Amino acid sequence: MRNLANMQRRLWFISVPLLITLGVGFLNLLPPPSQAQDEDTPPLVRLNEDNIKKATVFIMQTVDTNTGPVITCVGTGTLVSADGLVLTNAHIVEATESCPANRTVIALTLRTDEPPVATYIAETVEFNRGYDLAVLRITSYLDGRSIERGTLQLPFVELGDSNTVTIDDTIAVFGYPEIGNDPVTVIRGTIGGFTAEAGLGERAWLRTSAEIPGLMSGGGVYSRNGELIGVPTIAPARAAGEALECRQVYDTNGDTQLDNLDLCIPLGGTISAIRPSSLARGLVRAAALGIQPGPEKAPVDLAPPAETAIFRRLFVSTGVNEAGMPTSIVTSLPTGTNSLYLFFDYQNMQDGQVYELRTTVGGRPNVLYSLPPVTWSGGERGMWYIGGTVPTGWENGVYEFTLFIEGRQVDSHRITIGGGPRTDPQFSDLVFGIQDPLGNLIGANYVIPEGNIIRARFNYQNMRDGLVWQQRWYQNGNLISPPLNTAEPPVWSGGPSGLSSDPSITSDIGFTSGLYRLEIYIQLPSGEDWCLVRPDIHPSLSDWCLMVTSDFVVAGGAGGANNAQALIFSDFRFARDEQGGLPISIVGESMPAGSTAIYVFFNWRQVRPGTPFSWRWLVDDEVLIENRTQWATGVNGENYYFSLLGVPNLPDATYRFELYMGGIRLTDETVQVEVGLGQLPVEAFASAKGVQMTGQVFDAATNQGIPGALFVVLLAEFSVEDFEWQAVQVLGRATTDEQGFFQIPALLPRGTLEEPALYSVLIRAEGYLPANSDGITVTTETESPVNLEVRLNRDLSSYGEIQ
Amino acid sequence: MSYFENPKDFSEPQVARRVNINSGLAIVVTLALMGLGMIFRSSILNSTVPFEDEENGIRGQIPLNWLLDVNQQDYVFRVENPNARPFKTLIQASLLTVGPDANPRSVVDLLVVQGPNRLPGYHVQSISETRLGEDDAVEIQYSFIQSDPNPFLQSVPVVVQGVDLVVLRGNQAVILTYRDAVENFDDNRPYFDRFLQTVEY
Amino acid sequence: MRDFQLLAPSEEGEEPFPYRRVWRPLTIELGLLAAAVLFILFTTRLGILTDTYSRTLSSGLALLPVAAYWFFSIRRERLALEPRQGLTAIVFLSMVMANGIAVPIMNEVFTPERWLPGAGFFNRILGYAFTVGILSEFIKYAVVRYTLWPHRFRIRLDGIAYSTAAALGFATVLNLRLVFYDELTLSSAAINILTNVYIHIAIGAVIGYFLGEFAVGNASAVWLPTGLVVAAILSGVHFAFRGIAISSGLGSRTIGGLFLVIGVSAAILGILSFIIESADARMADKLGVRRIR
Repeated sequence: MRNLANMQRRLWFISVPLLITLGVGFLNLLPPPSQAQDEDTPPLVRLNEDNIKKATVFIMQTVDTNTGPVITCVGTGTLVSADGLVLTNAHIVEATESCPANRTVIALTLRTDEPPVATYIAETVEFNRGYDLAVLRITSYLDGRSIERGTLQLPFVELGDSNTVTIDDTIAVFGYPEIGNDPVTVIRGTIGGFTAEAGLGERAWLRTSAEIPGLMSGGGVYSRNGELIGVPTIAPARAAGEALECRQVYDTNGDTQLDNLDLCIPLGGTISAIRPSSLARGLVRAAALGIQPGPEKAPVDLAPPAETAIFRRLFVSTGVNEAGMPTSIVTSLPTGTNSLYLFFDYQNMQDGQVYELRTTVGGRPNVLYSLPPVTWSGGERGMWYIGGTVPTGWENGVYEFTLFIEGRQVDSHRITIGGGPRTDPQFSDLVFGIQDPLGNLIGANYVIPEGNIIRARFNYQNMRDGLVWQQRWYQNGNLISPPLNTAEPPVWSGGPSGLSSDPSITSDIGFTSGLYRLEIYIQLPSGEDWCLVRPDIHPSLSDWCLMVTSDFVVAGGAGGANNAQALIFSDFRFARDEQGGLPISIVGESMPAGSTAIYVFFNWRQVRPGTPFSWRWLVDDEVLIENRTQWATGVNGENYYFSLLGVPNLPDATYRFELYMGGIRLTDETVQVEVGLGQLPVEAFASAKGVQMTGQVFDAATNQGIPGALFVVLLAEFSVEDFEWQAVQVLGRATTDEQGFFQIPALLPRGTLEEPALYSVLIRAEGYLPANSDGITVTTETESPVNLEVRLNRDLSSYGEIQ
Repeated sequence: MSYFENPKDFSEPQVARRVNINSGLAIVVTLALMGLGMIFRSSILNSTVPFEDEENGIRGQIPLNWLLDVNQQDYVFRVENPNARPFKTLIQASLLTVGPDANPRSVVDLLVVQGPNRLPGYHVQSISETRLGEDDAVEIQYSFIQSDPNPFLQSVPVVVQGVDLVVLRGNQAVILTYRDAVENFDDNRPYFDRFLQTVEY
Repeated sequence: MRDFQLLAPSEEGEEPFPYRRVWRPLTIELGLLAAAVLFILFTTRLGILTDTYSRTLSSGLALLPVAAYWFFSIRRERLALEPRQGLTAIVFLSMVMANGIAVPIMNEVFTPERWLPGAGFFNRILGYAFTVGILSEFIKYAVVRYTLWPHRFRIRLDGIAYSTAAALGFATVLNLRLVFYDELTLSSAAINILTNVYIHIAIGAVIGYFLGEFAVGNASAVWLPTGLVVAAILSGVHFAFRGIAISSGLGSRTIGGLFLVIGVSAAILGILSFIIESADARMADKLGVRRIR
């Protein structure tokens, strides 16, 4: 009995702890509490939505009034670098009559479910009115304290490649749909097509049928892979300078009343057009490198023209050549037409005005074939086009294209798509050149030197001998060809198809520099209707069809083989400064490192004011800054200059300057200079190459954040064991906030998949056991930010006193 | 006997003596161990390592396992207590080039003028003359507000109290600084005092 | 030698044990606490209970050991033939001493949270042993030594009984402070409460063994100080190993701490049980009497 009792006692001692141990062990096998999934949120494929939301900023233009700063205009932007570069639309940050401003305020999304909070002041560092894109740099806090460059570590997104986007690709648009009282919003859609625009090529606009509120203009459009591929863009439609859609929110004149005497915040309509990120790349790189366009000898006068802006001479072409000229003119198109471009002349326009194209098909508005209100960038006068290619073909129907300037309808044009191939006469591919002594056309160009005879050449099809035709030549908008001999009008005799070199014009005194145009017409035989007569161009053309047209430039002197090339610009040289319009410190092929400016000087010959041309700077073979403008100084001269400025100085790189006219590059690769080593440093865009590290430090016992804890990340070459509490071993450190959140101010450089970068971290807080970890992996595939959750354990020594 | 019992007579002198010795020794051992514990505590809390910057001629004993930062533009060295909350207790030494006519008070004036630009909410509490070893020194006591500029963090600004001790050394002013959150300033001041006792410049 | 009345006819040659059993009710009380803690851990892990701060549940859990002690020990004590006196007083006195002396000295003088969490393993052993450990064990020792010892000590197990009462009071004060001053989650509170109760009772039992042995058996002049040092070192060792057990990189491994404290406590109590059993057997043999167990 006694032994039984002893055995029972021993069983107690063994079994109870054993049972407890088994219970604890079983507990360990249970999975941790699972995180609740929000079933309403659709799954995102590789889209770091939280980071993108925090990188999407709300932009407010403010103006000082007698009651203090007042918000006048708002929009959206995107942080594209950790140190505070913001990409947005140019019209959002440009001070205008309806958007007076002397300060740009950036509001951040601090919590993704809350409206943005005004935090910083930014300055515009890059601005391109033509693209309607601008890059801002955050420079100070709201109280005016300046922020040292490179000290900010904000969430940001990298620019993606918009050229990889295809029709039907899924996109997500991030922005603020309301005047600051809504959190950042995501709208999903697809790419519906691409719109071409003069000077910007086939993908001047990405199009979507998603309904994007106008205030999201300036935000970000992301591909399925989470890359920033575009900027949704719409300029608020205006009439007589006033926004058509506007909201009064603030008492801007301080009279304690809200009425039409107060400024109102303009709203855009619905965005369907997206500026591709390829256009923003140069601006963002320039901003990151601290490069800005500098002074120019004779910039275009931006004073508003005296007369009303007009669009006229609308016509449709199926192609655009390298000079931006129509390849042909059509009045109807067969089924399956892929490309269509609406060309028109413009006069008295001013950069920054708002224009719009509304298209109906069969009387129904079609958003994809329209262009919502956008800002004009074509200068005062010239020829423009809007169009695009639809791979599956433009749908059949009667198209009506209506153009608006500042909300005012100016002109419209109609064309029918459908039916079989065209059998009516067609002219196409008009080119120009000069005549050699044998009377042949040499050169096939849109920029030709001064001379006495200008010839043109074009292809023709389906012509009929006997049709009456005429050529009309213009110089600077004035008709210079002799009047049509109505008694003996020119009759076609070139057969049904081929290449005609008949059009020509001669001048005894020679053709001086300027902008020229050729129009070729066919008189529509009575009873036929295969073309559109053009009384809108001139009353005398009421039974004439415009068959083909093109503009070209006469500039420079003759040179090259057979004197067929125009020698316009010459004697390029680089200098470090200018004074009185003359170069100072001319350099050869290189400039010393740390240079603050580059000036390129050149001479010019026979360039008439108003001649359109474009220029650009390339840094290490990448286009950084470019502009389309018009010649605004004398016909001949020396020492015209353009310049680049570095803030604070120009980085080491090779800088090349290019000039274009009529789509032709007029400079060669020798127009370049090396600064310093002649190559950008590897870490020039380092802010785009690393990952951010953020997270939260919890008290494991209370599950609440620990304020004031220290989080240290070591350089990749050090482990926790190697750490000797020397700051030289530390990559970055942060102190947690009241909720235990932290963000390391430095970016963690990435490793590769084969050789990942391994980081060690240490966390310290008084009263808690220290936490360390080695081997946090960062590779090219690692998404930024890396989010860590740390749980610190208290040492049991703290007897219940609140620390 | 039918059950086990062995009562001890505690009134017996030998037993009583043994009880008294045990009781006394228990108290002595307890106090001795606690004393050892406090010495141990002190040695861990106050352990230091030597710091020497030959180029700038500053040396002294700095707390062990504090984060040491050297060769920055603003200071010769800075050590911070990684465990301290809400402000990382800081000791630093910096140098300022001065002219032959400078005195510690003129350096102090410059520091006070520059203070608001460097430290938000800078406020001087007292300026007093003192001595550091055999040298005349001036001590500035001040406070400022430390806040995290990161807008994504919900940081509450911390009131920090600081001491700058200025002595002259040839054409340089040596500025020895101690800063801590105002609630911990007095408790952690001994770290700075120990450093001052060992510093050579 | 006292005569006594048998309460029930015994088997041939079997006499009833006149004192309340100590190990069995202690095991039941500790087991009950463990069962309650495991229940909370399972229900919070499975999401049945929300793992947030709950003053009601946590304070109930903190008082559970005392309640169980009252039910299984103090109440049963009255039913014993030779009841122990003063257990309740020991519990309360220990609580008062803990709250009035131990905690203020820990927080204001020792301030272990400033220097011990980051110290090395052996520094933590010695640091805890020579501050928190020695103070805690001395208080538990003093509460018994200067009240009931040695006149209430009749058998070695009395040392376990009284010292575990003192330890329970001490641990209860720490647990109540945790509940009311820190907003621990339910599971953390449960684990901390269990840890405090288990380790203080286990190490308190060491003090009790030394006190009991001195009262009943032979002891040297340094017996009690030795007991204090052993208890303090055990306390330091537990704290040091606990730090390793619950830390896991950037996370927290609470199960490790549970395993540790249960294992350590079971080991200490088991060893003490064996030592006391053997000592009683040796003494019975030496005296030539038959033990009643």
